[in-house]
Amino acid sequence: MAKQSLFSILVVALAALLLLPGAALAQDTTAVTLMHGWTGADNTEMLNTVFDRFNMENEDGLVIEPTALGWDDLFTQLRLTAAAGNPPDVVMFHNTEVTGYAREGILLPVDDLMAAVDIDLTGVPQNIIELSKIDGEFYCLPGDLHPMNLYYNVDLVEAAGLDPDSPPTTGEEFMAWAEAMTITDDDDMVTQYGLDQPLGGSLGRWFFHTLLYQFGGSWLGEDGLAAVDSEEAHQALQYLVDLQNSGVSSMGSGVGDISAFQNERAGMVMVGPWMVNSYIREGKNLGTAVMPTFGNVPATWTNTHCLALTVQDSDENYLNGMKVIKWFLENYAEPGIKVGIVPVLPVALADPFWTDHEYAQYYAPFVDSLAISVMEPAIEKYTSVFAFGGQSPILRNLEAAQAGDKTVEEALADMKAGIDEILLDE
Amino acid sequence: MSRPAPPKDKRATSPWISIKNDLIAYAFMAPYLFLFVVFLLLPAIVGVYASFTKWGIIGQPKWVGLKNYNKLINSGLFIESLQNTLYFVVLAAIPLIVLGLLLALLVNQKLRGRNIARAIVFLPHVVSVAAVGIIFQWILERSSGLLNYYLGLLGVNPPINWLGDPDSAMPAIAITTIWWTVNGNMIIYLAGLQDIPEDLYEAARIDGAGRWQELRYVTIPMLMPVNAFVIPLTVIACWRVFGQVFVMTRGGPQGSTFTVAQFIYETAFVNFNMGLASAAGVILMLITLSFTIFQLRAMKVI
Repeated sequence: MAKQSLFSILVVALAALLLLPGAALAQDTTAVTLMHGWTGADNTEMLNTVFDRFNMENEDGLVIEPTALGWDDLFTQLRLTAAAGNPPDVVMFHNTEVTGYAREGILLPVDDLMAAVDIDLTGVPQNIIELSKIDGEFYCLPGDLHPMNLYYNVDLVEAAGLDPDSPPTTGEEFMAWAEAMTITDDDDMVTQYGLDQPLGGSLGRWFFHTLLYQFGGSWLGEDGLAAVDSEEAHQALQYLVDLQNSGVSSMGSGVGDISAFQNERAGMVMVGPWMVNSYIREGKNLGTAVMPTFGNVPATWTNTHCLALTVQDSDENYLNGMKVIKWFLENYAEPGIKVGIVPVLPVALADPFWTDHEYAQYYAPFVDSLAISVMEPAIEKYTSVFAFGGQSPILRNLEAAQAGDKTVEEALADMKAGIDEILLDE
Repeated sequence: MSRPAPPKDKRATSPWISIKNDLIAYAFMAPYLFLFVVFLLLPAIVGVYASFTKWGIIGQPKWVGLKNYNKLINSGLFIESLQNTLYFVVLAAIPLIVLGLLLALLVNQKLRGRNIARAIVFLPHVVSVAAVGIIFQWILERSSGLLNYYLGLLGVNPPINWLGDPDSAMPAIAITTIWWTVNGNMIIYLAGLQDIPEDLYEAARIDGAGRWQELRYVTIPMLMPVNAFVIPLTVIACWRVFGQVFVMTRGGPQGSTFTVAQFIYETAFVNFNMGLASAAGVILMLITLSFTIFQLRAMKVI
């Protein structure tokens, strides 16, 4: 009998030990679900450590429950969960995608909630603030920019007799560097390229975007249709094709490939800040610089990550979601430097985690280029017009022009026709 | 003299036993049938319905009749994706079937280490499509890839830009697919080969047949039921090619590897036009169904 009683007490005690913490947690915490697209083992794990820090601090009993999805999957899941009535409380994606989701009624205008939690956007460049608004209302809060800039291999630069402390700032200086670093063998085969500029792909599109705005052009005209048949667009694409034909550029192996720079067979490459960490980890002697001005005005491609609230059946978690967003924006330095993106809130840029980090020197040109950063138009059909897949009229025609299969005129005319077809499709 | 009829087994003819046996059979099939109905049959029916609607996931589908089909027929992109996929089917399906049979014949030989050989040949089958795509991006890399290195030793210069040239990108995808999936056919052919009675070979040898005649008059005819399974499945799988394209080229360069499955994916999950994507899916289903019926009729299976 005594043995049975002791056994019962042990069972009850064990059950209490197992169940009570969970019960306490369930009573004291409120979950805020958050969907983001920062995938890849490193990014997801790093971001989880940031969320864990928030959860440990447990402000107002809030706990972030994150879901990491690839970007394409995120766009699908966001729509599906919204259609099913259970979207995540907070979603983190790009400013360029906000308009479409806001127009579909998936995102919540947040001006009142911003005031309620006292989010301060003072010091954030006005153009970035404007990108977060639709019809004068905030639909997302900008967290970072990730502009495209110049990377160079310091060892190859020095081997070519160039000064790595004076990177090129103009098209002429850039070509001088590229030519100096291009090496051919006895059979006239190129063994090292000055530039690793890929065929098409996202990097091809972003560089064309950079050139387009540097020559004074834009993607869309005042009529809302494609303006890529303009003289400025012609100059931009001609520059890209001439650069390709000059023999200093690798054109990669396959669409969007920049392995030549990675394998130290090219001296320069133009890409966003997210490559800093991996290049450093690979042991590259790296230099970074603001995008040179090839055209008439300084400009470079960028996009932003922003955080938005979704429309829910009940408004009880809106304020909690906004508190999470505020905390995340103010603590953006850690994810910023670990993922390789530049925070836009002054408080995050002033965070010692950012300013004192050993990689800060590599990110400095990316911070400097915020003022010349230009985003693709955040139109409702952004993901269709600026798609990365095989349907994209932009990529197809850029690739055709780069490969010499279409003239610049043909490529731009077909690009305009393809973009307009998407824009006009009901 | 006729043999007396065997006594009737009352248990086997009892209606109750028959029903019970049927129920047991259905119980064994139930898990699969449930999954089949929920994840294949119902979505397929909904897909056919959706193909006659305009639907962006959010909101209610709106009936548009044959508008989506009309749009597809007049869509240069869709026609191009059909042409590209047909090209891939031609490039990949025939080697997948022929090489699958040859590999099966090879690893069916009574040689030392054949089990190890079977395992090695089958190994790529368990690799995920993402890993296969990335591995082959390295192998096919223009200036430092393994394939161009060996081709260079054979005098192929300048190196081929496998994934960057519209002419070579689809063959590169086909090579990748063959390496990755030929072993699946090999395993099925191997099982078929092991089902062929040894007596038939002995009889053929007594009649003076050589190895080639054994293959032609015994092995290949006896593998016809296996062919009726392998050939349609291989052709269907080739029509549905997606993963390797998505990882290696995303349909480029210049749309040269843009396939029907990618058209469906992008239309559904990038442009969120579920009706048009469903119509493309129905057309793909009709094409594969036609191919299958044609093949099975040609093989006199149906």
